[in-house]
Amino acid sequence: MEPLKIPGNLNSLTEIKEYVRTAAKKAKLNGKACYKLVLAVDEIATNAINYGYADCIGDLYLYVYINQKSLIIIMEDSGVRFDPFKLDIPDFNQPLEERKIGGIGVYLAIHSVDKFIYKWVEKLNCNRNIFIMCRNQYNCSTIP
Amino acid sequence: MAFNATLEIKNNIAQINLSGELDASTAQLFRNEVEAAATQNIKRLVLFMQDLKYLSSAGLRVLIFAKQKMGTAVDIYIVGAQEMVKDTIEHTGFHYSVAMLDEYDEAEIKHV
Repeated sequence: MEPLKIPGNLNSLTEIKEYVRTAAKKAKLNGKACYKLVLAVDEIATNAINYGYADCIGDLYLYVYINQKSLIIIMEDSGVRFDPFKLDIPDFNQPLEERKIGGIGVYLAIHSVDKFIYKWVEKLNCNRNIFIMCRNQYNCSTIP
Repeated sequence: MAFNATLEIKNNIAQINLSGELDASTAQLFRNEVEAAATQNIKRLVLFMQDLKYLSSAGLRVLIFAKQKMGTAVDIYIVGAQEMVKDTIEHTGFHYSVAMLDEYDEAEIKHV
């Protein structure tokens, strides 16, 4: 698949999700795996748009790699440096009326994919988020 | 898929029908309906999710907003959530603060 370069604003989310769905279809991920991968990429993209590019304009770059065992999506942005693993995990036992707003999206992103990797790429001055889903050729169904 | 949120208020019960995909680009539409409901004297918020295909944390944030805006006296019900939407709600503990139903029967809920 061709890489996707897209403006870092919320209007891009639909196209980003469709790009991920197309990749998932090519990799023959089942419906649940596709949904979870879309959710993960959506959450990190939203974070980059809302916070990484809060005070500037920039693009998001997405790349797809498919090998025999896995589908890998890499998303890069040149917004504010942000390591998702450094965010506190929200307290999911708290009642809604006491909950803080932040952290849920990043938590969902990290835990929705089989493996999530973050790197700060110094020479490119960019955040690189890597989403990996294992392919299961023997349990795939038509992706909705 | 386009997102839609429509509010109906009847007998102090606010019902919001959600359809399509609820993410950060569409969450404001949902929040607008919650804000409109919050201006009325409601005792219950019922969210119909049978046609909601996708829910991200942006939608969950609106649930937090709803609970904090309306207060603990207003019960929130989620009806007919699809499997993966339900999965996200339960994975983040939201199901402890809302009632998850497969179908909505107003008469039955009155006795709960």
